[in-house]
Amino acid sequence: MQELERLLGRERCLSGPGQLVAYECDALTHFKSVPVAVALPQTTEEVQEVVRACVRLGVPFTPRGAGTGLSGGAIPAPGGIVIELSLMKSILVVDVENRLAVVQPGVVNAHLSTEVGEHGLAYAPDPSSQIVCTLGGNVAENSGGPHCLKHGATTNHILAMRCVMPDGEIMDLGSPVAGGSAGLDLRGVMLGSEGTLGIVTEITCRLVPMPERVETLLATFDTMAAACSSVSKIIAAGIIPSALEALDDRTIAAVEASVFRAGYPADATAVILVELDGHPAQVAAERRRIEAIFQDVGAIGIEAAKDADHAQALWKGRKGAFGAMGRLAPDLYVQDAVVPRSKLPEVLPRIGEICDELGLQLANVFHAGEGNLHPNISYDGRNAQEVERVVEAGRRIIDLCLSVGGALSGEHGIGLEKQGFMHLVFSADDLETMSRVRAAFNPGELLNPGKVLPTPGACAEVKPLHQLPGAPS
Amino acid sequence: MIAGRDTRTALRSLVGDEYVADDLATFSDVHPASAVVVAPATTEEVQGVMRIAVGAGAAVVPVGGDAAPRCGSDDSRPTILVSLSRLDAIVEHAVDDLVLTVQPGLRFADARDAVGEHGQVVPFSPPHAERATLGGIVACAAEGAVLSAYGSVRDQVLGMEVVHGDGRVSHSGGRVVKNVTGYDLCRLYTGSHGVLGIITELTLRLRPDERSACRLRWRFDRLEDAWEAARTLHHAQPYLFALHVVSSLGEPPNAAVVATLRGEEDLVEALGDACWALDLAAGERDVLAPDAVGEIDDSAPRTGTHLRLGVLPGAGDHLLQILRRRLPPGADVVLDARTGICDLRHEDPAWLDPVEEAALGVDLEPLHAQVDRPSDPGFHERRLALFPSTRPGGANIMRTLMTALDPHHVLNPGRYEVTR
Repeated sequence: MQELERLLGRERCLSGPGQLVAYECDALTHFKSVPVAVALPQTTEEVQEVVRACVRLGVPFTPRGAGTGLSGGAIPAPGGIVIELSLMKSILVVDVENRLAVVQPGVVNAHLSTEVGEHGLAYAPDPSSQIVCTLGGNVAENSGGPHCLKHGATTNHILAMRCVMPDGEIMDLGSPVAGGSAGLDLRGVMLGSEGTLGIVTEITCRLVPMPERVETLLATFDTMAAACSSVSKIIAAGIIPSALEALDDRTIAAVEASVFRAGYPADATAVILVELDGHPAQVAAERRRIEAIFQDVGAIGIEAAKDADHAQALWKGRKGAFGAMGRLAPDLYVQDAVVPRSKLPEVLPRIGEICDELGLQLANVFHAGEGNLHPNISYDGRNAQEVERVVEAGRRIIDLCLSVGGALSGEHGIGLEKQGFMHLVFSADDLETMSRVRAAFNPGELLNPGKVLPTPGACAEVKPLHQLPGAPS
Repeated sequence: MIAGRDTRTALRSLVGDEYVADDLATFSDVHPASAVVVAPATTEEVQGVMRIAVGAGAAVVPVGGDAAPRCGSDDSRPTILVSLSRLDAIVEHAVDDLVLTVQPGLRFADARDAVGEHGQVVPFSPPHAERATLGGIVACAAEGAVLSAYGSVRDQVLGMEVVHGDGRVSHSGGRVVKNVTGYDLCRLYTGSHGVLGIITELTLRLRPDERSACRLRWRFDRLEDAWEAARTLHHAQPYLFALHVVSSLGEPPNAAVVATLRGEEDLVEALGDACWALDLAAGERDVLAPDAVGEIDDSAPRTGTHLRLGVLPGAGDHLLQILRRRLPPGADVVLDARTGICDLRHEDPAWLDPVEEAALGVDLEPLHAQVDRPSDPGFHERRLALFPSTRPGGANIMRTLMTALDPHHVLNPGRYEVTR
């Protein structure tokens, strides 16, 4: 602490118990570990000094953005400090001609689009938490969002970055020039590495032109299977909307009863929210084809947003869905898994069956166009038996998704939450390769230790409140 | 140096006599080489080859369709060329998911034809499309002229199986379009030119084939006018599939702007009308078939010199001025006006001598230019000296990664010698 205060001054070092408790977890509240201190650097060089001090003293350090991560990636190691990057929130460069921006990692995702909007540009990745989450966190998690279906996830929009490496060296990875820089793509492997390979202190983002036309459609179905079938058929027809989202009846009810009320039809079993963007001629043609598919699979209603306000309301409901579900029960378990899009009609009903068998309250809201599921289970964490059933449901949902060729995580990452499942996806040699790659960047493992890869014992002192699916036993 | 008798015996025992040869032409229709050539048929056989190479102290150079120059060599060591021609199967085409899993030796043209039957495309436009293999395209990150429309090769690779230099097999990614499970090693392997492992299976994202396509061409007497027109089109029409300035730097100068239009029929028609309505001060203009102006789609002729430059798109005019000032006549230029990628070609392999190249480098450095010269294995090393501002800070990490995944340094030695 003395060293941090010497480097940053007392006002940018936190050590009081009341201050530190705010950093004991991220948005996955099941795992908690209070840091010994929190450092708030403002420049790359200050991050470098803090890292060097940690290396000198052998103290683990964990970078943190807004703390909206859902897999425990920003939870500090026992005895470690948090390097909080929220004060590094400057937009350094907006290059309209070359459609790029250079920002510090604490810039809030939505702020960047707001800032560049006057130039007719936007930053495309839009996680549901975009009004809070930071671009540094997005880089660490390779965040997605509804509009990543057409425009790609964070990794597709980051051209270059400046990093403080685990030994304190400052390094530039990637290049703003198309095609990247010489040699191996270190930028690419840094993206989505969950803060275990380096601390990103400057980010060069690709910007995209605002679309000339945007159309938002809401299709209503009386079964989730029919809704999923429409998604599969849209993709199979070769149409890639900018967004293709699904909400089930429980989610709709929660949204409509909340401040996020969107005007979704109350009698729907499922709705599909579609957004098309681009040239008016392309959008019109795709809309005709999608409406025909909806009708073909038996949609009971198809509604187009009347204007931008209406479209915004429909999206407010979708993006506020997780918040709205907070009304249903004291605790919410948000699962994140992926299945091939053609398997949606098969998988969704089976997830419902799993939760029915276990007597759990399931709500689904997910990125259907990418097959990225978010089964949300509402429960009471004070009820140990119910927690056990949530654990079992999570495990069975993962097994189900993997059995059809899916993936363990589409956008929330592995963090602490899913380390125990990694062996279901990867062989010992696969994990050994990843471990060697991590060691090449982070040989001492002082940077965010115990994340992503299963390392039994590394986080023994991190006490989960509940025994979550996949948590090391 | 040629691999020894014992090595050949071991390789023959592994894959069968008929799949070990002294001439690559046995397994490929081009480019014979003075090294032992082996054509494994399975991942396990690739592993076996690697172990034999380690035991024999030999280098291993993977070869796909021999569409890219075989960069990386080390004459002081015996060399085993690993032809991937027998690993050429489509493992799975998940048509409804627009996902294709293949073995690395599958030729791009065969994949293109197979998925084309379902109205889909493999989103690459590689040099030598008829013989380029998907494994080679990924290893070289050679997406071609579709970068601005589809993104890079790295954006299309969803999963990989790789045999590393110690014979271990590892997987990364998967077969779904969204996946953050573990480190994204697919991006690391893509464009690594085989120095981290030999790809033995890969899964790619496909794209729907566009329903309609054409090219529009405007001709100009002056390169500057062509560039100006391209930037006007770029800003006025963001929905073009691609936009290139094509020129020969000879005298008299000639230049053309070529806009590629793809999409729904209504879109192509509307874009065409809008483009024609712009006053670009051009000479002749015409409508072409989508595969016309072939130098856009196939960037690297087999003979001569190929230099690839990359600058920020807004610096394209500066780049063109430098090229006209610095380069001797005769080079063909294809500049992607939306990405800043510029391919320079010349029939004479000695066209750009080191002195000229150094002078070019001095001029280009303020533009933060990235330079690649696929036909010259030593170029990566020289380029680091030419462009100190673009020196990759990660050289130590690259070296460590290469040692971690290829501990005996058998894989494609010489390609990234500077980082060893």
